[in-house]
Amino acid sequence: MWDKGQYSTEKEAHEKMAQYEKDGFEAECMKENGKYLVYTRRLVTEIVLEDGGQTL
Amino acid sequence: MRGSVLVVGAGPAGMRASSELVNQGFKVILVEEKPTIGGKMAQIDKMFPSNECSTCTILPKMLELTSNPNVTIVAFADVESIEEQAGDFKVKVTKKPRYVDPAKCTACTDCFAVCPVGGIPIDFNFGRGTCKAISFYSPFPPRKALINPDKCTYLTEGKCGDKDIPPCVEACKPEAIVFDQKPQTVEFDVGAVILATGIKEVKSGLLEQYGHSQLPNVLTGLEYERLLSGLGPTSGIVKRDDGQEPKSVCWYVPDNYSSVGFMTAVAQSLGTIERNPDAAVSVLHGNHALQKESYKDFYQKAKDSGINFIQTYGVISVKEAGGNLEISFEDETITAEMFVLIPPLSLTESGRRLAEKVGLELNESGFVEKKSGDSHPIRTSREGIFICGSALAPKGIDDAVIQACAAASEAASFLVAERGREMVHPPEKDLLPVEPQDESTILAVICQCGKNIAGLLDMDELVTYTKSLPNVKHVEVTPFGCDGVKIRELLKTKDFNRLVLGACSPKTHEDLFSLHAEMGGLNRYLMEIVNLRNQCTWVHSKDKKKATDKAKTLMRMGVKRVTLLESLDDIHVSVTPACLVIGAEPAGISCALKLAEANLNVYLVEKKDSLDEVEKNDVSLVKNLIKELSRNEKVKVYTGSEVGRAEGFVGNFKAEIVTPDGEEDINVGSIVVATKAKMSTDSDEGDFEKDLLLQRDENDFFIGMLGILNPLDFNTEGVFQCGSARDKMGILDAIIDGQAAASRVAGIISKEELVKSPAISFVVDEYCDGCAYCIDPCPSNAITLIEYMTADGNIKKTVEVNEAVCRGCGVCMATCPKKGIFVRHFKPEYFEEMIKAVVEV
Repeated sequence: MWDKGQYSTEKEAHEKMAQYEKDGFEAECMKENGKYLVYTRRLVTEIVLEDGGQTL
Repeated sequence: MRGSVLVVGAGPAGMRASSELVNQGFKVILVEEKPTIGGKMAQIDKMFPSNECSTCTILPKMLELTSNPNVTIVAFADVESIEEQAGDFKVKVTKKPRYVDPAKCTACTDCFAVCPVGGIPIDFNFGRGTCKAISFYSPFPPRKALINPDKCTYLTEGKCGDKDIPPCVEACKPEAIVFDQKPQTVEFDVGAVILATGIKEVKSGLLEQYGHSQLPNVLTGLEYERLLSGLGPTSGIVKRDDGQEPKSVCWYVPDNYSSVGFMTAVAQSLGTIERNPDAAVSVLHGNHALQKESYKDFYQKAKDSGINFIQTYGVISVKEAGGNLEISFEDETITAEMFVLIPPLSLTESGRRLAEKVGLELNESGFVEKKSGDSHPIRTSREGIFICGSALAPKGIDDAVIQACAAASEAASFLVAERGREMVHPPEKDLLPVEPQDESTILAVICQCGKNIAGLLDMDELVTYTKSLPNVKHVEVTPFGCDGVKIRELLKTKDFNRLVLGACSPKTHEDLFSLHAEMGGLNRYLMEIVNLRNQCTWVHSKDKKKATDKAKTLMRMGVKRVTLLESLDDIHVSVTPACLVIGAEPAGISCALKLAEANLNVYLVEKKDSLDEVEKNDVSLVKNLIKELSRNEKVKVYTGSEVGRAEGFVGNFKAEIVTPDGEEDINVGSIVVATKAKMSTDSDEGDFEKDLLLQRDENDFFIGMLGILNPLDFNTEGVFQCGSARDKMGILDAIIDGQAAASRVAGIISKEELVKSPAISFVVDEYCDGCAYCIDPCPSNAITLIEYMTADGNIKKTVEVNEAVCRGCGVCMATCPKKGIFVRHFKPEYFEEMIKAVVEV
């Protein structure tokens, strides 16, 4: 999904991607209307419930 | 070598073989001796053992073929000769004169009304009901008029009443009547031939013995089918010769017939009870062993419905007594108001003549004899000519379909080098760009459907009303919308960006109308079909006002919806050109071999340590196949192996093979389960059956997709079953099953990409909060919970739809509490507006 940011340069976008990847997200960069957009995703493998339980 | 195939006979087997071949990249010439296609399947009411409506099932398949540019249908024609050799056959076909130019006939039926010669018994109904000397042969395609040369007085006597010009000629605006039409011979060059010439009832002494053609209300099975059929002479209400509905009906199926005759009686008696639960229904029958579990279940259902099945050595006599019939057998007598005899079946006359011309021998029962010692069940003694369906022996439609697929597989592997070479590819779509904000300019086309719609509705009132609806710019009335002429012509003006069709059922005609819309330059998703025929004129056939009022309401709803629709683009999915076959029993071996012969890669996995150890593989027929398999480099065999986890979707599956040397991941476009044996690993690491959503029944057979025309398909697209995976069967049947499955697979993996409907789920991330309510209910396992990071460092959960897997069923849309997911083309607001339209006055 789009991270909602617009990056002016490819370098700036790639720096952001590296940050996301460090947190375990897949990241992809696309150029649109002269701006660089970054998309990220990762599978949810665990959900922490409000009562402290876990599921998935 | 040619890349086209001649298919002779357009019944369920011939039609299915044609469809499979085109799907695999081969052009088809489909020749049918009757003026319309469908064969016996078009004449029957419901099919055993599924009790599905035959017409509803076959009509979409007919339209699929008639609208396919790679299928040339030559109806009302006979194959005169098949010369030269396999790969390069020269075929001569003679078209019989119909005295109407089919290219000009618009099926308007204006000529029927003015023809003075009426009262002619309808052939298609076996003499029940009447028609004019110019008429349609049946309600099915190709829908073109023809003249009966024995009844038309202009053809027999040179005059029509006291007129110099026959009234049909004067009435025919497109000038389609051609009284001097002669038989015309046309030639085709084809690489292979499939004979699917079908069967006929033998109306011999046996029928006379029981009073057929002598006593009233004594019918054959097929004649009774026409009374059961909604498109028959009594519109689906069974009636005696005196027009009364019978209170009692008795069937007789003599001994030693195939199970087809017995199952026919079971289906017909059930159809009778369904219409009149108080009717006394009996079936007298000889000894009939039913092999298939599905046949046994259907028979049990009939017994549970109160049908009286009586086994007998034979009926002695049938006599008329006081307007009823007395049927005597052994020491008993049954009185019934109708008596239905299931006669023997044999090859059709044209099938017999063609078999002789081609040099095939017939057996004692009148069917095509198999080549002695031939290892292949559907090859004939002449190379490149294959045979399927009831031309070999009477069989149910489910079995005919399987043989047709196998025959297509044979022809396709024989002509593999020519695959795709003669195919006509549709031109690039040139569609009018339409944005959501563009003002709607709606074209409304109202189909008369002959007299089906126009015969009841107040068409003037409907047209005037439709013109008054918002954004409707033009209303056109056309005799048959399905010919597409007016739709294409008007859309090509580019004056309209939406289309509403007042016509028939989208279930049967949506694909065809979509094709016409796109040929006119309109995105197919900017079209709405309003079912005036089924939902107005058929169900309210006796109330013109109510039918017209309902038609106006439905048109209002259709206009509302079409105004909101958006252009959508098809989804293209790439295909991995390989197949995983699970189980090396005869079916799996024949499937793998046929795919390999079609130049496609196969992974064959078997749990036993050697193919020779597998049950039934020790007979010479299968041993020969195993030898051929071992020589073919396209097949990789894994023995002593199992299948672990599997994931993916049609065209792109990933599966894990657990071999004695370790695990190996493979990528395939399709998967075939060819064994009942458990072939998945017992570990927790993976079970392909669960992963692919495959289910077994109480007898441990796999449960396939519903529908008699899909005996090998699973609900999981791209996954198929054959052989012992789906039923008990002998070795020959298993080999045919495997080859049929190969045809289904080749229809997928011989393509570079698959085209998929875009009417699937779409996530509105703005509304989706990642609650995941939609994930478990999804029957396709298409939804995954993911999270992503936003530029400001927040992590947001949402769901993701696998477009290749989603089928657009809408369960997720119904489950979501936040409007966070919807199915494209079926947004909730469309329905809201349609419902508002219903209550508008």
